Amino acid sequence: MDAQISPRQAEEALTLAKEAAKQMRRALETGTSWAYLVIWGVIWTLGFLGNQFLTPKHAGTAWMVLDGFGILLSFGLGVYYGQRVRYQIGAQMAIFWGAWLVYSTVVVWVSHPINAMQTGLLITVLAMFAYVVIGIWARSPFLGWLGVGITACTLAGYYFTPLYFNFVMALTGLALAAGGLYMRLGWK
Amino acid sequence: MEGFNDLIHQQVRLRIMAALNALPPGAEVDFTTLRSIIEVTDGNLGAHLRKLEDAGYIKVRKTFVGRRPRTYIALTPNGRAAFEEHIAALKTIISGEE
Repeated sequence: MDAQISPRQAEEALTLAKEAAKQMRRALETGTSWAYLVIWGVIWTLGFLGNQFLTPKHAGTAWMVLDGFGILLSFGLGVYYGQRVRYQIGAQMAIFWGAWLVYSTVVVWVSHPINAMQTGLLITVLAMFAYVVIGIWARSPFLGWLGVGITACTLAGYYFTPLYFNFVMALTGLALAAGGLYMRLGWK
Repeated sequence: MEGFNDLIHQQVRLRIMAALNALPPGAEVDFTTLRSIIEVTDGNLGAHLRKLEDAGYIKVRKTFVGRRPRTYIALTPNGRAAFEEHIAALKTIISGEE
């Protein structure tokens, strides 16, 4: 076909194409990740505040209720988003989180942490490792670095401010939720 | 200009093709999500999709999720090749080569 356009028009067309591709990539990258971050960030914050202010028995119950709620909500979101964009990585992601849950349960069971603080540390580090893997896998540097940052804060809280560990963890939960809101509102 | 494609070059169709080209191979996106990225009306998007489908550049799949009808759109291998050729042609025009 005969192109009747100037270099300037070609450049404008290329810019339009790049912008549309960027928006699609952003939509894929953000997906419902932001909602997962907000949901688990809030659950995390409430759970660790429970560790601080409730008796161990009540805190354990609170974690079970919160985790159950989070798993149900995450499953619902996964089904909803799967109806919007269908691609291989979406199904792989669900399998990955299923495998993560099984392996994390085994790791916690085998390593047998001696108290709630060590349990919290172990689960957090495992969860953040999953975020780093997903960040690399889904080419999302934001998720990867968020995982690295929260792991660093968690380790610092455990080793340097053990008395305030639950507060530090509650704050990292808020950071997770804030990261999710930033993905949703800041990436336009 | 070899590779330049008048059908794809129209602004809305160019953006549709670019957005679909950004999907991983084999992936499909639903009509609503694509519309929110392209920012056009349902009717306008539908008309452009029909032209691209007629040319064999995209595949439109209509299905039901529960009782709701849903339309999924994906780029065909032909569409991906045509889009990449068109982009290469644009780059050639910009660089001033013929």
